[in-house]
Amino acid sequence: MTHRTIIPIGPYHPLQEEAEFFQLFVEGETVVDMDVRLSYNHRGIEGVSMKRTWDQVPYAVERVCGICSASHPLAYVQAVEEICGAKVPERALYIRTIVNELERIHSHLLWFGLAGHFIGFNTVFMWAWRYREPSLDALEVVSGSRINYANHTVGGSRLDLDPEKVKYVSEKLDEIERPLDMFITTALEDPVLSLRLKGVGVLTPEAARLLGAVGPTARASGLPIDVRRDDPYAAYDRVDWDVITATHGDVFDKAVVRLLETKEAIRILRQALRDLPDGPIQTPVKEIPPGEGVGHVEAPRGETFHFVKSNGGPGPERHKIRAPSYINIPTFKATCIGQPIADVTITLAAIDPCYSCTERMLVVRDADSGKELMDFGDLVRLSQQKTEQIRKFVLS
Amino acid sequence: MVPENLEEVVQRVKALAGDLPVQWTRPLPRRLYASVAKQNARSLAKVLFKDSGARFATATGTDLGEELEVVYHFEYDTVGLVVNMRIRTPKGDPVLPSLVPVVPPADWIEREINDLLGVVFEGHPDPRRLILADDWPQGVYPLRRDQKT
Repeated sequence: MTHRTIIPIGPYHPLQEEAEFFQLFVEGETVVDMDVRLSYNHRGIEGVSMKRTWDQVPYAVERVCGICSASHPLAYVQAVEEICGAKVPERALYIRTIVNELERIHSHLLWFGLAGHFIGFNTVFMWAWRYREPSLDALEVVSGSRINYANHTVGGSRLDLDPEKVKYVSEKLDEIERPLDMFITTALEDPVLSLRLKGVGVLTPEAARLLGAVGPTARASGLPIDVRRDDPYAAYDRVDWDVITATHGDVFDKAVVRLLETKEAIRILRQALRDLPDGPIQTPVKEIPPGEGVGHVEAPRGETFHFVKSNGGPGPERHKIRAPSYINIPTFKATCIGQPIADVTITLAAIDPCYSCTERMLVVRDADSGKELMDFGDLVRLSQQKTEQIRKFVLS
Repeated sequence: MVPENLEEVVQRVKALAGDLPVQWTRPLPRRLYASVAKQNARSLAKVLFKDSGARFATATGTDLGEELEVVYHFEYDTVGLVVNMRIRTPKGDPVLPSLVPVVPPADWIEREINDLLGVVFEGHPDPRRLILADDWPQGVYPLRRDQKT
């Protein structure tokens, strides 16, 4: 007789910004089905945005996500610029690139640290977060804030960069680059990491395309999509950089793609800081005529998509926001069925969802049904135990 | 094989779509809008997603006053083209065909539009609530214009 266990994950987690609730159906060690419930943290930002003026919306939408707080406003202002035809000054395009790439560095290093923690590499967690700090310091100097930068405006940028700030950001990049090279070497060469992560949570290219996956989740499965190259914005078509892809679609490749992308981000930043053109940072924008505009930006987790509709009024008539996790989370189902439960946390973490899985609230009332509960702490422990076993095996 | 350029993709999509859309507009080189009648929506979605290899981004539901509008956004990443497929239905008859049978990733967003605007997607395989809380009253749609906050 099969003994089916339900493992509820979520809905609240203090680490990240969005609450989700997963129910894993497990037989023995194997996940056989799952269900996702989200929107515990639905704040109605689309509705909020429709009651604000054109200028206020960027400050509202950067609160969609604390990590992508440069990507959402940029997608929005690009959509509005598409409606009104504003020509953004060159210098502002470069400043936008600088802010958004610094954001990518801090987001990817945050992810790398968390992924390390989930599989029991707490040293990785400490180091990655230690060397994430310089990127936050740089953002603070560039925008005045470590998070919620409020730097993108319709038609330009809010704050200018002086040579002193440019120098400071370059120095911070030096601080990040060496440890980053070490992370990359460690990740590629560590035998335990390879054994633990290769072949785990594989997303095939077909499934990635069918489910509409974006960002590193899609690129690790060999889909070479990146809005920065495909529909260039800011200054991405003026600097030299590569779209990083991998072929296996497993957790290992997702980690490698993110680490190499962080390296590319530094490469983009160095060129943008070097080539920063002179000139104004804001073009005057008066009225927004009726019309519709699409703004999409390659956020650290993938494409964030904004659709704005104007009726000529003081603010958006409709503002649709689709964050990358919204389309990436369904790939979790495709990757985790058939997996052992010890691999579930890292498979989920590999999407880097804005997720919140933790000690949850569901109470199984029927003690006779054989349903048992495990919480997120149990799952992390299981995951760490598996790494420990592999480590002992490698050492013996 | 030489990769297609933007104009070739636009021509190919238009040719495959034939007379399914009522109207095409192209305000910018990389932005294409197609209005389509309800009964042709699923066929056009199949042309975009299955036959011509677009990626599904999301959909936007809007209350236009007399009508409800859903715009599905598709993207051709090789050339950065965004195709927006527009369907409208009178508020008195808020029923549209679900695209999920031909475009599986439209699953969540159709459930969300149903929650927020009360559009019923006929043929959706799993039309449960997605966004609103379980104890949210039936028939109250937060993004409808007549909704007071």
